[in-house]
This record gives sequence, structure tokens and C-alpha cells, in this order.
Amino acid sequence: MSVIGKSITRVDGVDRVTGRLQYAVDTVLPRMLHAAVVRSTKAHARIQRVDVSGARAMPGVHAVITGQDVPCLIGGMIADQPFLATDKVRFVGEPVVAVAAETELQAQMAADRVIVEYEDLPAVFDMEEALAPGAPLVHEQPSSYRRIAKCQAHDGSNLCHLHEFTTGAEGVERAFAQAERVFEDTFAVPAVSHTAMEPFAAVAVCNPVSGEYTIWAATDAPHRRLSEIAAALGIGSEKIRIIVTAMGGGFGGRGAAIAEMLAVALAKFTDGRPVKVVFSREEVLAASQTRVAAKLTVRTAVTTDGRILARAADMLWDNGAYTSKSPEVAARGGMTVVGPYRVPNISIRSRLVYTNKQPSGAFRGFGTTQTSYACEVHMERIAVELGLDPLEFRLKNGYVEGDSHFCGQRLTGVGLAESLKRAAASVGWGRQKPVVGPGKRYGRGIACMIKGTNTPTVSSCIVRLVADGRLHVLTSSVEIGAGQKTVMSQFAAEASGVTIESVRVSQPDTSVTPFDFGCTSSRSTFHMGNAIRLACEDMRARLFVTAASVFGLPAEGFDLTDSVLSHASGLTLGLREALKKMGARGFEFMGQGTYTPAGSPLLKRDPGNTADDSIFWLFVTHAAEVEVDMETGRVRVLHIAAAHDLGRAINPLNCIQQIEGSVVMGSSLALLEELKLDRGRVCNDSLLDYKISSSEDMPERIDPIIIESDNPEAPWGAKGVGEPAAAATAPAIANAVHAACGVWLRDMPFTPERVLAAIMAQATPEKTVDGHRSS
Amino acid sequence: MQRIRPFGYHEPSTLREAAELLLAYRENARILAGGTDLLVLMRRLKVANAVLINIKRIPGLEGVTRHDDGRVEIGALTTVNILESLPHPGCAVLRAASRVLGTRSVRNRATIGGNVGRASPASDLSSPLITLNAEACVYGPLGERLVPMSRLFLGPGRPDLGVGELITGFRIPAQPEARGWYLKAGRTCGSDCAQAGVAVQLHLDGYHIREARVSLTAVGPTPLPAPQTEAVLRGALAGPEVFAQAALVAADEARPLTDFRASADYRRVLIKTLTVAALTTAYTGECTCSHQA
Ligand SMILES: Cc1cc2nc3c(=O)[nH]c(=O)nc-3n(C[C@H](O)[C@H](O)[C@H](O)COP(=O)(O)OP(=O)(O)OC[C@H]3O[C@@H](n4cnc5c(N)ncnc54)[C@H](O)[C@@H]3O)c2cc1C
Repeated sequence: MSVIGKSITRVDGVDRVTGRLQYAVDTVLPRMLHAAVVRSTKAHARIQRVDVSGARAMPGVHAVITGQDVPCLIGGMIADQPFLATDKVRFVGEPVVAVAAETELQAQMAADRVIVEYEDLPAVFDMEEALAPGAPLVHEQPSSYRRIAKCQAHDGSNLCHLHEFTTGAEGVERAFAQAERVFEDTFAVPAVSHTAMEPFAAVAVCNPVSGEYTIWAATDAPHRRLSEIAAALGIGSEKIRIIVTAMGGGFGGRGAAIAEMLAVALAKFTDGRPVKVVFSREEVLAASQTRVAAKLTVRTAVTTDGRILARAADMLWDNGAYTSKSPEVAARGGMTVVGPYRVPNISIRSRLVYTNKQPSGAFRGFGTTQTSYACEVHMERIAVELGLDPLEFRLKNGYVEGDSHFCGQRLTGVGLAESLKRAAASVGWGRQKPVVGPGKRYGRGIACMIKGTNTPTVSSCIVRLVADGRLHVLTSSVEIGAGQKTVMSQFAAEASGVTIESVRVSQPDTSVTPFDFGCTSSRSTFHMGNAIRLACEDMRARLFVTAASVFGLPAEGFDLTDSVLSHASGLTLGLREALKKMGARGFEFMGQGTYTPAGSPLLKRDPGNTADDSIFWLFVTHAAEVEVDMETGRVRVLHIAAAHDLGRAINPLNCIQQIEGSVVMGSSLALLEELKLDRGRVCNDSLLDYKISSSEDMPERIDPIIIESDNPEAPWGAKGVGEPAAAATAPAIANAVHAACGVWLRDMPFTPERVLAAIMAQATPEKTVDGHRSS
Repeated sequence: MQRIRPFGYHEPSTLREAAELLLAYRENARILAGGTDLLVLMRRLKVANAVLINIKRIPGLEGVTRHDDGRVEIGALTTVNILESLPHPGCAVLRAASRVLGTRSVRNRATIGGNVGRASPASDLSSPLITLNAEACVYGPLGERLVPMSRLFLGPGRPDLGVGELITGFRIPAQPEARGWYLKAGRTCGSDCAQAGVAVQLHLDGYHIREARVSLTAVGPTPLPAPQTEAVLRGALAGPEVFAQAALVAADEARPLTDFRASADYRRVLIKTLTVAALTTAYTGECTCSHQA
């Protein structure tokens, strides 16, 4: 019986809801010490003196270390971040001193005794100010940092990374010069926290003899984290082992060595005793990583009948003080500002800027929660001003099967139009507005988006069919809470022919499970799914060869389905029994598979085109119905229809949960979330003041709509669903608010206060409202 | 990880003992009631010498008593969930406020004494108590005294309590023919501290407002009685016109500050809408929903 397309109950569900899963914070090892961290109280300052003598004298203390003790720089793209600040601090919350003691409280009490003296330096918080000539420099000499080739250094400037792309400057200029209409808008998107339920935590131990480190942590890409840490410490990757614990939510936030870095730093100084680092919520909110704040200017040339001729975007992205994955967010993520549209002329400039703020990095959607918002509200305004139906305008310009993406790739499996139509239908697009209460206005809005996956990347997998008929899947794909283990089990059962109950999917452990690029970029289902398929085929081939010789039958006629071995000649045997016959002394059949899309015929043909291609593209449309309280500005989201082209749903329930979860996250981002800064200090560093959606704020109704499409390289047709979901909600809501009361929301989040200010600023509200739309 | 630093702890069994402990430890002493406010604060407190005086072992500080003449007494340790279903007529304003305070788990622990004792301008129960003309019963080394709620607060976090004093309960006079309501606005529809809140209590004489009490939350240094708003209502014929007029005056009478939770201007907008809504609900009758504005 096929298990593909079935809503199999989560394999880790019972453990999760009964509290049996071991998260990083649950890790307890013999003789384990606990850490506390002294953090910078300054946004930008020279460290003049650090006095740790008082801390060292406190009871229970084993190690008190400063930047001098770990002169190492970490960063997957640009290694610009010290484990602990050395000569200067660059953001409020930067770790300066770390303490390991017998108990958490002793560590804290010792940390309280540390004295740090600073000399203030002028700081930069605003991206434009940071780029102005003569601005104080966050990093004096970026060129001195180890970096990947893509990231050029810009000494003497706070420009961290520059990414430019154009289909041809002349063509773009001509299109804008000759266009019937040109539109321009600027949008601001704030830094937000991933707000995963589990705070950052890690345990590290360093073997004092071999110098080898073992790290227990919830990280979304253990093999990549391993290389980052090894490179930072300047030791061989064989000297580091990362054991991934259960994860209490990721959302891109676990894409850097945040707690790991501090645990590793301390572990070197504790004579082989493990050290545990657990962040408080305050530290998570103020001193880990955020979504990249951005300021996006989008310009579009169109014909009056709504054909897009050119799109130009000038985007500023806030890196914060140190570099995680933001260069890639600004570059690859930034390209999605074009949207899922055929645009002949494109010019994009993305600048990532150093500021004296908490670092930014990956966040579910990888740039698309910023760009889709800008692109789609801008698109809406163009449609409205041209007097076109916003849905028709999108359908007219949207990608269809076989269209050419500007990276030069021919698009296959494009469910965009269907997603637009079905989401629109679900909110009653084009129908009369329902009557709402006094002082309230109703509106419908729609927004779509496109998201690719980092290409090419690699996933490897080993499967072991062991004597009792179980299939062990050794994979470094991380269960980030999105159901990865369940879907991998389904793939393994389907590809190998054992029952799903016989499948065991491992926890990642870099010393055991093979390389995987990471549970990022909506890539795991597609990439690891293919690797599992290949590994299972490999295993089956070996099984059938042995079976052929044991049972004296030709290998070709064998089959394994539902854990029953059969042969065309009529032989049928339960798998366990068959295995017993095949190896009385015990043995196992292994298979291995490595998948990479590199060289796939689906990818772009022209290597000269610098725009990134993608082995699959995800298309999403969200449509919103909202009610705006004209007196208070409060936006109530009545309904979100969320249509996702995800290829095929391997586990429909899982997909629905992903979609629902991300609509909740998307509306929370739209309406509430923002880290508020006062000269670099996070004011709302608690969940009292960092507001996320409560159950009462969630959309009253969510309709997840699964759209299927064909991608020939997708395992059983599956593309992905994890990321894009959160991106389309905010622009759908913004556009619905416009339809309701005629104001354009160009700053997120759409707090009542901000919406009301926009309503009040609008000179003649009545006119604009009734003028232009049917929906 | 920020941890609560070591602290001293006492469990007095009489008021007298409590007062002595408060006197002995002075500024280091902190009364522990439900702890929903204090324990959150303690994590941020970098002092190692706080002394908690847990008053929950002192008998007689809990519960609601209604006297035959309509007076109501509420013990300081009465938890907010009990007040949510306060059966007493005339106390709808306190009921309404209790229902929108925090989350259920918070309401199950949080006490009325703690809510008032923290003297936050955003405390949801203080304004309702002011509109009920309640008095706080204060016990201290010099004995007992009664302080009108409208005069209990000196500034943010500063109740008018002397060294060694604590609140033992509240006395609410009879409220014949009175109708009240409380509304607040937060950043979310779920639990949040108030960006603004309005408590109203109307004493009616047929359609006439014989007396009106209005107090505002989170728009001043203390819970803020609104005498000018009351003056607009007093003697007027109840209805939309006077409610709208009162709301304008209330917005004017508010003394909000701008902070990252809301701007002063927006808080005034909220006061205006909340006042109309609270007056309307109070007048037309209690609604069962706990919806915020
Ligand atoms: C998640 C959450 C949500 C919350 N939401 C709200 C809300 O919506 N509205 C709101 O108003 N509050 C809210 N609070 C704050 C707090 O829970 C309440 O104010 C609560 O009523 C405090 O009561 P308590 O018994 O827990 O006080 P405690 O924490 O025990 O004490 C609070 C303060 O009052 C002092 N104190 C306590 N008892 C007395 C007494 N008898 N005499 C003198 N001083 C005393 C204490 O010393 C302390 O300074 C919230 C708190 C949390 C954690």
C-alpha cells in the first residue's frame, strides 16, 4: 500500500506532546557546568578594561574567559564575529565575558562581579546614515576577514555586501523613459525575532587529551555548522562532532552557531567538563539574530493596459554588527522583489549595511517576507491606479508553464495562476462586500509570490535494512518541527518497500549521519527525498542480488512491497523470514544515495547569467478579508485563503499544518511584530512587549489550498512548503486594508496606531475608497 | 541566562509579624502575594539582598464579604478569577476589569492587593476601585487606616504606604442603582497590559445620571480619576450625545506619555473610543463578552 499522499500521523508526535523529546535545554551530562554571559551595555565602544578577578573568586566558578582567551572569528560567509568581544563591542548585547560554574546561579552571581570599562564610540543605527561618507565604521578593516569569494570586502565603508543584477542597463533605462506609466514606492520592514518556543541552547565538551569537541545543540544544518566552527577554531573538521537534539522551532533562527559558539569557547577551559549555555528570552530577543530589516524602493514601468515593461529595485538590508547569512538574503532573497512575473527589463541593487545592532540572518522565507511585501503592495497600487482588477493584473503578468525566468531557466511546474484563482475564489473575489458594523470597513486583498531554493546543494543518505526487517535511515535532515521525520519515513517506506512502521529515521549526528546541506531553503523534502529514493534503490538492488543466489532465482523478478519479498516465479516470504534465510549469522543490506541538482536539465542553460536558478520554484497566493475599525485603526483579519503550489502533498495534513502555521506567523508579522530599538538597545526584550499573535489575534478563518504541479525531478512530485507561506500574508492584508479604507501601508507592522495615522493623513477618504474597485 | 539572584524569604503568620518584617528590612523588603508581577521583576533585579515577605500564610486576607447594607469588602489576597464572577450588583466595573486582566493562568494567581499594591498606572483593577469610591484598608506599625483609592497613588510604582505598611483589603460602599463597565485596549486582542483603559460607574435616576465616576488607566503617572469627564456626565440625560461629549473631555483629561507601547496621541484616541463604548455598555447593560475595544 502506498504511503505517499497519506496523512500519516507524525512519527515523533507522541513523544513531542508527552514531553519525552530531549531538547537542547534538556541536555544533562555528568559533571556538567553552567554558563552565564556578560553582555555589552554599549552599542559601539572600545573596551578599556575587563576585570574578572571578582568573578574568579566567586564560589563554584571554573572558568571566566574574555575575548583574549578565544581569539577566533566565526561566520559562514564572512568571518567577522568574535566569540567574545576583544578590543571593541559593536552592539548592545554582544558577549564580552563568559563564566562557567557549578550551577546557573553561581555562574550568574560571578558574572555580576565582572567589571567592564568602555570608551564610547560614535555608533550608527540607520542604514542610510551608515552609508554616508564619514560615518563611524563598525568594522575598520573588513578585508582582513576570512570570507567566501562571493562576498567582496568594502574597506572604509559600512557596506557589507553589494549585489547587483541587470538584464541590461540600456534596456531598463529605455523602458522607463518610454513607458506610459512609472510607479515608485518605498517600503520599510523591521527586524523581528523568530520567537521559537525553545531558546537557544547548547552543551559542549572538549576532550582535554585529543582536543576534540562534542556539541549537543538544535541547529538546522549540523554539517555546515561544524565547518564554520572548525574554521573559526582553526582545527580539522574531524575534531568536531555535533549531535542534534530535538528542536523547539527553527524558522531560520538556528542557522548560525549562536549558543554553540559560547559553549565551545568555555569548554576549552573547563578540563573536560561539559558546559551548558541557555539563553534567556531577553537574550534571544536582544542578543541573538533577527530577520534582516530592510528598506526597499521598487520602481516599475508599465503600459496603461497593465503590461510590465521594467522593474528596478534599490534595496537596503540591515546586517547588524556581524555577518551571518544576510549577504545571501540580500542577494538571492533580494531577487524575488521581481515577483512571479514576466518582466523583460530588470535592474536590482541590493546593499547590505553594517550597523551597531544585533546581527541579522536567515528568517523563514529568506528575504521574501520583505520583498514580497514590497512587490505585492506596489503591484496592487499599480493595478488600482491603472483601473485594473488586481487579480487580472497579476494573472496577465504572472508566470505560466514554460515561461522563461529572468535567470534564463525555463519554468516547469508553475501553479501560480491556479493559486491566484483559487485563493481569490475562496474569499469571494469580485462579489459584493458584506455589510459590516458601524465604524468598520471591509476589504479583500490578494498577493502572490515566488520562492526558489538554494541551488545546487547536496543531500546524502544511508539506509540500513537490518536483520529484524527494520529500515534505519541515516540522515542529517533535521526535524525542525515541520514533520521532516514523518515525510522522510514515508519516502523510505515507499522507496524501499518496507512498511512505514519498520522505518526509523535517525537524529543527525555529524560523526554518523552523512552530509546534508541543511534544513533550510524549503529544500529537505525535495533533496533528502531524492537521496532517500536513491539509497533505497541501491539497497533493494543489493537485497535482490543476494536473494537471487540464496533462493536460486533470477534477480530481475524480485520485489519488496509492504515488507513482503516476492518473486515473479511465485515466491512470497515475509521480509523478516526472508532475511533470516539469507543470513543465518546476521547481516544487513545497506544502500546509499547522494542527490544534487547540479547539472540537471531543468536548470538554466546560460552560465553567463548571474541570476540564481532553482531546481524548483514555489508559487503562493494568499487572499485576505479584513475589517478595519476606522476609529481605532485596528485591523481584524477575518479570513485568509492560502493557496500553495507545493508540487505534490506527500503528507497532506502536514502540509495543511505548515500552511496554517505560516499564515498565523505571517499575520503576526503583518500586524504586530517589531523589535523596537532605542539607540541600538532593544526596548521590547520580553514577551510582554515583543508581541506575537495570540490565539485571539489569529485570522478567524484559514483556508489552506493545496495546488499540485509537475516537477519531473521532484521525489514523488514533492517540491516544498516550509518557507514561502509566511511571506504572502502581509501584503494580502495590506492590500485588503487598502480596499477597505483606501490607505497604502508601506511600513510593517500594521499596528492600529499606524493604520489610524494613515487613515487620518488621507485627505479625502471617501473618494478614494469608492472609486476604484469592484471587490 | 538571567537568573533570580539569591533572596531572603519570610512567611509571617500575623499582620503584626508582617509589619515588623517590613520595618526591619525596609527598602529591601518586598511583599509577595500572587507573585505574578514580583517574580517577573526579580529576574531583572540585579540586587542580591531582596527579602520577600510572603503574606499568604496570614489568615483572613482572602475572600469577598457582602454586608446587608450593600457594602462589599474584598480581602487583599482575593485572586482575580474570583472577582470575575463577583455576584454583587453595582460591581460590574470590577468584574469587567477582572475578566480582561492577563491570562487565565495569571488570573488564577494574581491578587487584587498585588494589582493595586504595585501602583502601576496600567493596573486594571485600580481605576474600577476608584470609580466604586473604594477605600484601601492599610495595616501598619501604627495601626490601621483607610485610604480612599483615589488618593492611594503618588506616582508610578509608589503607593502611599509608609514603611511597614501593607494593604489588607478594600471596602466598597453600597452602589444602589449604579451601573458600570471597564474597557481597555492592548496591542493584541489576547492578554496585554493596557495601552489605555476606562472605568465608568453611573448612578442613575431613571434616565438621568445622578452621579458619575470615571477613572482612566495607563494614561497618567497613576490610575487617573477624571473629574472633568464626570462633571459633563453629572446631571445629564444618559445617551449618545453626552457620552460622546464626555469622551472628548476624557481624551483631553488624560495625561498620556509616548513610549514604545503607544504614542500619547494614540492613547488619547483610545480613551475617546473606550469611553464611549464603556459608557454605552454600562448604561445599556453588561455584555457577557470580554471583548476589548
Ligand atoms: C502574563 C501576565 C499578564 C499580566 N496582565 C496584566 C493585566 O492585563 N493587567 C494588570 O493590571 N496586570 C497584569 N499583570 C501584572 C500582575 O499579574 C497583576 O498586576 C497582578 O494583579 C499582581 O498581583 P500579584 O498578587 O501577583 O502581585 P505580586 O507579584 O505578588 O506583587 C506585586 C506588587 O505589589 C506589592 N504587593 C502585593 N501585595 C500587596 C499588599 N497586600 N499590600 C501592598 N503591596 C502589595 C508587591 O510587593 C509587589 O511590589 C500581568 C502579569 C503577567 C505575568
